[in-house]
Order: sequence, then structure tokens, then C-alpha cells
Amino acid sequence: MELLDHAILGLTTALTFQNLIYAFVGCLLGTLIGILPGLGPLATISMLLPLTYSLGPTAALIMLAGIYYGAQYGGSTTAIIVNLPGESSAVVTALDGYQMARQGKAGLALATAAISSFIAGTFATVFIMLAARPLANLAFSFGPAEYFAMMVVGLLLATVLSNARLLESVAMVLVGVLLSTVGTDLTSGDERFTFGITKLFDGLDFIVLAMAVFGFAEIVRNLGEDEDTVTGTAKITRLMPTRAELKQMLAPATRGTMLGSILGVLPGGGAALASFASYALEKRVSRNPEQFGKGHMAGVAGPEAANNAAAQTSFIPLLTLGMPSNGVMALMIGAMMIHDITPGPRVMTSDPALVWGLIASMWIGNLILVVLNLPLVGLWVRLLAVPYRLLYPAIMLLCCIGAYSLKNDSFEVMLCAVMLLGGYAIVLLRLPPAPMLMGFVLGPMLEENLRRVLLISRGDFAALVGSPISIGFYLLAAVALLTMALPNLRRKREVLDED
Amino acid sequence: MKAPLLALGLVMAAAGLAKAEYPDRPVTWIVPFSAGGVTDISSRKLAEVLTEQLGQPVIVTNKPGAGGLVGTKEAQGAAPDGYTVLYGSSGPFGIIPALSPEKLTYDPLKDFEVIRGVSASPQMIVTHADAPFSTIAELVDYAKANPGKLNFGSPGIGTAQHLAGELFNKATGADMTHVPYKAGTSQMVDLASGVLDLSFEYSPIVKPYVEEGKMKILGTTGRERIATYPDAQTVVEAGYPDAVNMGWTFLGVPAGTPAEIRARLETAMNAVMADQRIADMIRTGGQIVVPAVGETEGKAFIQAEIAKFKAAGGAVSN
Repeated sequence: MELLDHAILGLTTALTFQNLIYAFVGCLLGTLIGILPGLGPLATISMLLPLTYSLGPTAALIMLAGIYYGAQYGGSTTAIIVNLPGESSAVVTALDGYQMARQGKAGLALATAAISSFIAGTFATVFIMLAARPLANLAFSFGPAEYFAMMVVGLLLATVLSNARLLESVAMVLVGVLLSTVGTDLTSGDERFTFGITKLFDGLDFIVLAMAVFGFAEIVRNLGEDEDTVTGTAKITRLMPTRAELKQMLAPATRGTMLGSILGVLPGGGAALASFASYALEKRVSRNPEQFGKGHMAGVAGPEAANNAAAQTSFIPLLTLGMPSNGVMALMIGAMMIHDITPGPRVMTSDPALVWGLIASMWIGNLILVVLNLPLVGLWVRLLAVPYRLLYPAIMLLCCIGAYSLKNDSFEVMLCAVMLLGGYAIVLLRLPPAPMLMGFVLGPMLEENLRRVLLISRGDFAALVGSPISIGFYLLAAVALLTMALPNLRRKREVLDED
Repeated sequence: MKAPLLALGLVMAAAGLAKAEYPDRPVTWIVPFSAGGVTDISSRKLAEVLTEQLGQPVIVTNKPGAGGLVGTKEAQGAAPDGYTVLYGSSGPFGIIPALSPEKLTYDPLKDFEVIRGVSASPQMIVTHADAPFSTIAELVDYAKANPGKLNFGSPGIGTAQHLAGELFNKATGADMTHVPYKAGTSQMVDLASGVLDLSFEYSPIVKPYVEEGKMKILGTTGRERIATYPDAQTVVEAGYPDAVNMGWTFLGVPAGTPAEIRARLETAMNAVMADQRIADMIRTGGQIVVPAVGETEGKAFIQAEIAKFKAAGGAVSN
């Protein structure tokens, strides 16, 4: 029984005193930096990376992984409490989580996020143990044409993130895609929209954009209103979910877990799609889709599960192919290379204790995080009782520190100020910011893969529909487009727009 | 009694100040790339040994951005007192000055002094396991029989790996199309699955795929064979000396750093490069130790590389 052997090897590695301590330290640190707005795991891990060089590779990876998913737990807290998503997955959590918080259900939202994440984490751990090897091969059937098709579906789904008119959502997605073109063009090496500023050559940072259009713009909007309406969050009733509510979150969490586990395996940006693909799915299967965006629990449970599952299964391409699916994973490769371990197909057989120890530690880490986070729910909720005039300067200060920490440079802080103007305009025009952020995240992958397909095919567009996988994605896109354009659905949208 | 003692003390303190040996406080080592990358990792190991040599901590600071431009600019602006050193490399000192001089905000030759060359890394010419060629000569024959059919990947336009392909095109008459990616690892999956035909990549990146039998090595762009793959033929042996290409690194300081400080750093770096740990790191990384290249040879080398990249650049501008 190979699975059992792996599980036992993994647990005996992860449960040594030293590795447990590092898992705990990682989770704690991750939660803390996740909660601080703008301070992402990327900045923290790159600061801590040199410290881990003196640890063994297993302990180092366990700690870094702890920071990574700890930050995701923490990030959901900030998204729910103050509507500040620190990364793309938290954008989705903020949609319904923040609305729940305003209705006095912050405790329930936080608990839902933590419990769904834990369900997903447990499932994903078993999933990786069972299927890491066969799934690694899935990446080989995804070339540029398949990724492009997947991104087309992704961008269409991004419009589901709001209840605004379809045209407005599409427009905002396109604005996001346009913003993502700032910087050095990958194919020609030319600068686009950088105005000769060297610091813009690498493009805009997601965190800068997210803080500007969500955090700062929200603050400016709130300051324009009377203080009582701002702090007018409904009275907090209770913190923990009832048995019935637990039952309610189980189905969305399970669906989110499945979706996230599969998407996380695709190194070319699958994990970025996970949380809002799940949101789109929940909205689709829900009996009352009009409640989404207004504090629907499934809108928190599904995406949170999907995002956590994807975060964990994205270790599959990392460990088996040496392919990082995001910046944090790239740093993990650095942590392995410093100890002369090259991630790749061989690592599972050459360093089994490292691989299975890391996987087992993920589940232990998830357990630590639930134990750590559930008691803290009460504390975070109490934050909402702090008068807004005291809360917002603190949020702004933390955001500025976060922006500064991105590149140890004040340029990003200035950029936040500039972007805030646009963000506030969006608030005034009552346009939905979430589709824009998704367009910003997916835009580069869309463009990159399209141009790659055309380069390789020497400009032949037929190459885009060259495989069953890409055709499947286009069919999915067609179905999505049709249902969106269906008259009865449009009527539903219009009804929503009136209130 | 007290006054003379105090005076003596003062004199001694003043003498101590005047004679304060460099270095008497930590040295900052700027890496113009992010933490965790190949440049960062080798910097950490080099800095560790340099710390032992200087007797002061050498602290690695990552200043990533714009392909190394941001960090290099930062080092140029630092005080020329030996407390800021730069890990210079072929990107910001050779390729960008050759291909997009308009992006430069510093002069690669005038604004810096070379302390010592560190390493040179040739690229491995790799293809997927099913490719109909297994040597450089077979590749060139195939490319000539099927003009415009082959594609090679690279981690981005203007990288050493990209220029390796362009130089190969120029030297052999092969007509391969460049397909840029965002990082070295992301093109590996497309190469292994046959979407791409070739790649000119560093040996640690291709190693896992070669071991697994998903890729085969046709040769290397180095002048001499490397320790990790002694069977890989060089482009020189194959008859294409103009296809030689390597990524290189050196330790530099801002121009104006006093000569005695540079001498102290050079002695220390010579000892670092002679250290067994560093020699091992360079060998297993598929790199070659650059023989003691000081200031004059260093500048001449950089100048020659800029000229070479510029010549290759004719093919790049499409």
C-alpha cells in the first residue's frame, strides 16, 4: 500500500518536534502578515528566505509553506473585516464576506472561511498523496493554445463577480486587461505605457491596484458619509455557525474543493482562477443567485475552499516539474536549490521524506490554522466596534507600509495615491471593481499565450482550436455567454440594478 | 596626571580613526534580481565566504526590477567607499547596453569598477526526447532542410538564453523562431511536450528533465566542455565558434572607490574564488570559474561582449 507508506513517512517527518515548531511559526507568521493589509506572503518569504538557508531543506519548506497558506487564512480576515483583499483570491472573499460583516455576521463569515479552508485542506492533502504523479502529467497536455482557451473562459466568468449590467462588467474586465499591459512587452521587449519611468518597466503590482480600488477608495467613500452610517454595522449576534449553517456550507465547500484541486495542478495560472470559478459555479447552482454580492454564505464558503485547495495542489507542479505557479512558489524553488535539491520529476524518489513530509505538514498546518483562527474570530470582530475615525488612519498607514514593502521603495506608495483617483472614480460611477481586478490578473496570461500560439504557428489562427481541450473550453465559453445573454436572466439583472 | 593621560587617549583614538582599516562595518552586496533566483543563491554563498575573508558581515540585498536595471542603478548611486558592492552580470552590463541602450540610466563602463570576474555559464542546447536530431551537426542539417520550421524558447527577450539562440542562428544559418516565456522553468514543460523544438538553457534548469529522459542534450554554447555534462559537445568543436555564448557575473563597485579598498576587495575575492565550497558550487551549477580578471581586462571583456551582443541584435530587431 503505497499511499499508506507515503502517509506514514510524511507524518513521521512532519511530526518531529523541530518540524512541528517550524510549521507553527510559519502559520503564525503567515496569519499575522496576511492580516496586515498589503503585506503579502511574497514580501515576507523573500525577506525570510535567507534565514531559512541555515535550516534543513525540509524544515525550511515546511515553514515557508506555513507562511504561504497562513497568509491566505489571514488575508481572508482582512478582506472580510475591512474589505481589503491582499491577493487575487481574496477579491472574491471580500465580495460577500464584507457584506456579511456589515450585516453583523462577521463572526459567521470568518468561521465559514476558516472551516471551508480546513475542509479543502484536508481533502487536498489526501488528493496530492493519491494523485500527485498522474496529475503532474496533466500539465504536459496544456500548451499555450489550451491556456489561452482557459483564460477566455476565465475572463467571461470574471463578469459574474458583480451584479452590475453585463456591459459594465465586460468593460471593467477590459479596463483590467488594459492596465495589465503596462510594462515591458514580453514578445517584443518594448515598453508600453511606462512613460520612460524605469520603475514601471515591470508593470503595476496587483497589491497596489487592489489597495487603491478597494481599500483606499472605500475609505474615501466612507469619509464622504456620516460617521453613524459608516459604523452602522448591524449588531453582532453570534460568532459561531449553527449546526444548520454548518450543513449549508458543506455543499459549496465540497464543490469548491473539487474545482480548486484540479485547477491548482495547472501551473500556467490555474490557481488564480480557482476562487472565482467557484464563485461563478455557486451563483449558477444557487436557488437564489440574486443574494450573491449581498452577503451569501456560499459566496464565502465555495471560493475559500477552492482557493485553499488550489494553493495546496499547486505544490504538485512545483514538486514534480519544478514549475512554480506563482511568485511564492518560485521562492520555494530557491529554498530547495540552496540545499542543492532540484525540484523536478526526480525529487519524489530522491527526497521522499522532504516531499511527503511537506505534504503531511500541510494538513497539520491547516489544523494549526483552524485552532489558531477560530478563537481569534471574536477579537477581529471586536475591531469593527472601533470608531471609524480611529480605524481608517491605521488601515491607511498599514497599507502604505505594505506598498512600500513590495520593492522596498516609496514609488509604490505614490502609485497607490495615483491609482486611488481612478479607484474613487469607479466608486462614484458605481462600477464594479472586482471584474477589473480579475481582468488585471488574467490579462497577461491571455495575451502571453495568444501571442505564443501565433508565434509558433506563424500567424495561423487555426492553431487556437487545435486540441480537444481547447475546443472544450470554447464550448464552455459559448454556453456561459449564452446563459448570460438569455432574456430571462437579463431581466433578472435589470431588476437587481434598480435596488 | 589626568590631563596627559586623557590627551594620550585622544591621540590614540584619533590615530585609530585615521587608520581604521577597511572594512570596519558591514558591507552591502546588491543583487539586482529577486531572492530565490540563481543569481541570488550564488550571491548568498559567495557573500558567506567573503564575510570570512573580510571579517565583517557581507549582507546580500535584493533590488530587483527591469531586468537588473533598478539594482544596478542603485549601486551606481551608492557612496564609493567600498561598503556597497554590486553583483554585476551580463544582462544589465552586456545585453541591455547592446540592445536597448535607451533604457540605461548609467554607463556600464564608466560608472563602475570591476573587482573580479566570478563565473561564466554556457547554455545547454536541449531538445525533447522525440526530436529527429541528436547532435549539433544533425540539428543544423535538419534546420537547413526545413527552413523556418523550428522554434526555440527562452525566459524572455534580451536574456542570455535568447541571444544564445540568435547567435546560433547567425553562426549556423539555421532559421529558428524565438518564442519568449516569462521564466526559464515555464518553457521547459512546453519543450518536454514538444510544443517547442529547442531551448538554450542553463544546466541546473534542464537537469531534472534530462535525468527523466524527457529531453536530450545536443551540446553546449561554451568554449570548453563543462563538468556536469562532459559528453556535451561545444559549438566550437562542432565548427561554429561564432555561436559561443555565456552568461557571466563579476563583483563591481561604484566608480571612484579608492584604490586601496579595491585592492583589499580583490585580494578577498581571489581567496573566495579559491575556496573549495565556491569551486564546488560553480562546478555543480554547470559554470566555469572566470580566471582572475581584474579591472582592465574586466572592462575590455565587457566592451567585447557588448559588441558581440550588438551584432547578434541585428537579428533580434524584428
